[in-house]
Amino acid sequence: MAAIKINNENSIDSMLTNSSSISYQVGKFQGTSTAFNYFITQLVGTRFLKTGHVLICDNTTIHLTEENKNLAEVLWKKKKLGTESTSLFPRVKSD
Amino acid sequence: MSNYVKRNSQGKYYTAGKKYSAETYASIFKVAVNYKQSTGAYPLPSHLSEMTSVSFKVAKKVILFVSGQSENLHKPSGHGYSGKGSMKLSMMDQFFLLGLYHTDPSRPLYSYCTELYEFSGTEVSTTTLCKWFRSSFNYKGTCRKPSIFPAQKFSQENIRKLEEYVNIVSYFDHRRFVFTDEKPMKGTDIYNKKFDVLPWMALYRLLTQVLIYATRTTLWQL
Repeated sequence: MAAIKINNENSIDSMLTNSSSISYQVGKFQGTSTAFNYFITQLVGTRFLKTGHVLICDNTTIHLTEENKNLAEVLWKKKKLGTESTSLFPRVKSD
Repeated sequence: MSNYVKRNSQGKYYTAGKKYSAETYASIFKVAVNYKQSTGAYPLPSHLSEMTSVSFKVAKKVILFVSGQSENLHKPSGHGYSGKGSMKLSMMDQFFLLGLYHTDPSRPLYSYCTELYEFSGTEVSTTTLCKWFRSSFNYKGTCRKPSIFPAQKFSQENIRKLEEYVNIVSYFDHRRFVFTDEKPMKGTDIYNKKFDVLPWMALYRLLTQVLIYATRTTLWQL
């Protein structure tokens, strides 16, 4: 998993060589929704992803289904969730 | 390549890449035949080479030709058709080979040879068939490294989505963007030494280049 911030970099190369613009995670289960969910959690926890940022990702299955089904909604409410719950992405209980 | 003059081991000058003239061969034949008439046997290639100041290979070819062991003085070589059975494959033979391939693609090459010989009596070598399978179709039969981007990269649907994406992101400050994606580490990503530092970095360079360029271009125009 990897995330790249544009910041004020002028070129792609300078952006890629700047460690503050890149966050990545190498693990065993990289192609799963759980891993992506955990990675987003890490980004928020390390303040790499802050309030006001725009998260852009492609529309693959692991980004949109299972544990990431409500990812967009959760990120919109990140500030509230951070104060209300210890977990960033609590599971939604079905009635 | 232009021809140039070289000197062989016997000290005779010749033009590289160009065969000897008919007169030269005739004189060599005459020496070989006279030698046989006087001694009862054709000379050895090295002996004929010394007598006529031609190379060992030329003398050997002449002796084989004069003694009847070889039908051709010159064999076609280099580019073009060469080898056993290369000119023999008719259209029917080629269709038959394709049929064999579709029946069982994993069959060995010598199986094609035997099947073709039983079918039409055409005798070809495995090398000829290998060359035929590699070069007779629109695409080369050798291994290729596929492009990272698929062929439908510039399809109408993708262009429409790109325009839609640019329209959306043009409302935001580009310094807020964070691009994320997963990259499973597999085979070549781990072991391929061509990548610079990290294997996914080259992929991300390509992926983000299009998105960021489109985004910045749009923002600067605003």
